[in-house]
Amino acid sequence: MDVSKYTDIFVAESQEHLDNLNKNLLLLEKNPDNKSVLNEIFRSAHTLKGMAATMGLERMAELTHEMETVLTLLKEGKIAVKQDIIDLLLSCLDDLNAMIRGFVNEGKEPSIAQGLIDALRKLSEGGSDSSQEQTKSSDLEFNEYELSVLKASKESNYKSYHIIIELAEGTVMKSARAFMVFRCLEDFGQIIKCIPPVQDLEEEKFDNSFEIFLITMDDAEKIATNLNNISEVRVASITEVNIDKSLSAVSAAKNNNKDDSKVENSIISSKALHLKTVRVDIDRLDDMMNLVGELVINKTRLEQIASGYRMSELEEAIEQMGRLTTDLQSLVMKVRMVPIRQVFDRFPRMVRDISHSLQKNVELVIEGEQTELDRTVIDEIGEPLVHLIRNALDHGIEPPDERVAVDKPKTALLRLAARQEGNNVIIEVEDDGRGMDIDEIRKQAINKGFIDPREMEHLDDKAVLNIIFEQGFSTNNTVNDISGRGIGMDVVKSKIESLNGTIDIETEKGKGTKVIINLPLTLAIIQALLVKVGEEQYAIPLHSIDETTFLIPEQIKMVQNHEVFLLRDMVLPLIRCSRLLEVPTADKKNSEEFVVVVHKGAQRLGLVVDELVGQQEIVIKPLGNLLAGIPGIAGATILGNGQVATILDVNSLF
Amino acid sequence: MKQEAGTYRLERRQVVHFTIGSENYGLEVEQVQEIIRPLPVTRVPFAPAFIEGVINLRGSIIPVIKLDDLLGRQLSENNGYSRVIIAHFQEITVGLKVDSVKGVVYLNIDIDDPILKQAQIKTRYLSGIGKLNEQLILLLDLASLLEDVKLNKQEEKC
Repeated sequence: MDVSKYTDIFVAESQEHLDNLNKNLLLLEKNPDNKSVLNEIFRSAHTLKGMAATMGLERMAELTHEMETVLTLLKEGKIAVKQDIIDLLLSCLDDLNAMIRGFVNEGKEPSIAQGLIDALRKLSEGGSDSSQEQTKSSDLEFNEYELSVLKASKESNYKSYHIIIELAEGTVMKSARAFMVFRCLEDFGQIIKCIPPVQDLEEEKFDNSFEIFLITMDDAEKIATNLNNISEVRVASITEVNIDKSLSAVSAAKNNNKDDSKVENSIISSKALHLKTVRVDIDRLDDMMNLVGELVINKTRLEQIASGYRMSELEEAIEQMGRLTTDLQSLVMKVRMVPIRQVFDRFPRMVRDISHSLQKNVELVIEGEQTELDRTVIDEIGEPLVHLIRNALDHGIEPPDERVAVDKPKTALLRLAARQEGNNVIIEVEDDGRGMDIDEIRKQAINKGFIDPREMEHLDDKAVLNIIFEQGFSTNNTVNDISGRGIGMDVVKSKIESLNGTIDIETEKGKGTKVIINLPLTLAIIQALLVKVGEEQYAIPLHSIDETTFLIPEQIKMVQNHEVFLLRDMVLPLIRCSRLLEVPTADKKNSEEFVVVVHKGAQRLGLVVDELVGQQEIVIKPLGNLLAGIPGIAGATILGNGQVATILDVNSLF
Repeated sequence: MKQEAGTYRLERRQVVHFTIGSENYGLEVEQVQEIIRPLPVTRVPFAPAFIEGVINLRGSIIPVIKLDDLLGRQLSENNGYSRVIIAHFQEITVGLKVDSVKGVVYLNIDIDDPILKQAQIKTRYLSGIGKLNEQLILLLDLASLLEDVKLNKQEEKC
């Protein structure tokens, strides 16, 4: 079978399962007795095995198979959940990841897992001596549905039997015999469970015996006689099931798990989420977004046309359509939204590994992982966050003894939080480590020639903090494999800015550091202020505008041959858009001009325009391959009248 | 379809025949997406010199090239026949303003014609020459044209 066309699905789904495994293994590490987490882990591993086998990835199937064996032993309590087992399983995940990547890149799986397979085998052989004998009794577990059936049947005086069937040695058509047993038993009553599952029986995936649970009015002897009449079939044992015992066992287990109910709930809810989702190609979503964008433009156009006619019927219809368009638009936006959990999920593992290797005790607290962001933003935000977390672990958080020496709890706290504020999402990375030493940054900045000592005197602390975003700046004198190479913060900053976001740092020496990232919810449709320069219209993204005001000529002063504008206690450098954009002005000097105050981080400046047209929702359109990457222009948009207006890239003006 | 005719190398091509000023030009049909009436052009600040601006073609933003400047020609005053040819080459779609579009014709194109080399025109953007009745039609080389427009952009960037 040609399975290559399933590669994409395989990769996406296996990635999901690996993430799931990762998350749950870490949970298991914290609550070793939590059966439901273990079950979830088992399920994911099992699914992975099946998928790998389907795709013909034998190594991967083998590795997951061995993982499954170990997990079974854990599940049955044959071996205890220990640190080294978790470590081993986690490194299996790394290898699985590498295998999948290898498969995607080279079309075949790399064979790298032998060491792990051996280790897993050793582990399972050590624990499995007793396992085979116990299998028979240990599987007397019912799920809730089965239990409720058992309970109900008991209440209406039915009996439940546990029947063990043995087939004669050398039976050829085992599945056919099993089928005959089922047929025979169905005459007596209802089969509620069989071990192994029916599917395995059909595929002859069992040794010579299997077990059946039957609810019936008849007595055991009659059933046994009938079954023994089938050739090559023998009833090994037939016992009545003690429902009360099973019931109490289950409820006891339930009580045990009460502490973990939160964990369980989250697992159940994530499962529910899986069932209700449909995979959609991201390109289709983009197309949909484009079409809705068109619709928005046309709606605006219709509104403009209608305003010239004063027909209440037409206006009503257009108003109704406007509402629908707005609903549709917000719906499409929501469809593109993905919870930031996707990104956050990989951090517990990363923090664990890094803090182990640095021998620091760190507790990671994640908040607001259900906060949603546009798909495009989600794809980009992971990398900067990794940088920030590494920085916090490496530079920010002190080693345990140093923390104890300054009366801090031995275990450091690393907080990763996301929340929505209006049309923005705020992500914070906060540690309670040593904080940044502003004086040290000043010293380093001067030493490394980033800034002139005289200039430095004029800089306030906030401006000094911004130096760490400069390329090549690092206060850490030692370079290690985690951070300190002096790349990072500048990459982080440019990435965030390319997403139309901002980044700020708050720090206090000895107390900790907090990095605050502010991102727009989406990149495709934004609120913008339309302005006129000469006869041309431009759009300025609203998120970078502070305020607008009249240009009062008396408040313009000259500083070093540059115009500045005095606004309250601010001194704003002025940029005349007509000159900047080389607008061919008709030279009718308007008496009134306006200043649009824009910001980038803490910096502000004033853009001089001729007219403020108004605030409008605009759809950002790319300028195409020929014009892509022009500095100063962020794209274009189509206005209600069908005209094109260019969008100013405010960040590039500073 | 190639034919050997004397020392000339002739190729038969289907081209869109258009005029700029008094000159006749052709563009291969494969490179033409559509022909539209002129739309309002929005100037793009900081754009390369040979970009006139952008137009809104049914929701897509398409740059319009100053073809007349590139070819050293002058578009005549608006005569009511002027059109914009929407052409595409590889991943790039552009608009080309022309004085009029005459139609689609089959031409025997000579790609080594000595007239082409002698003519007092920029030959860089022409890939061949063909005769239609008694008219000479110059075949545009869209690839090198777009390349120059792009190069200009890079120069400006530096």
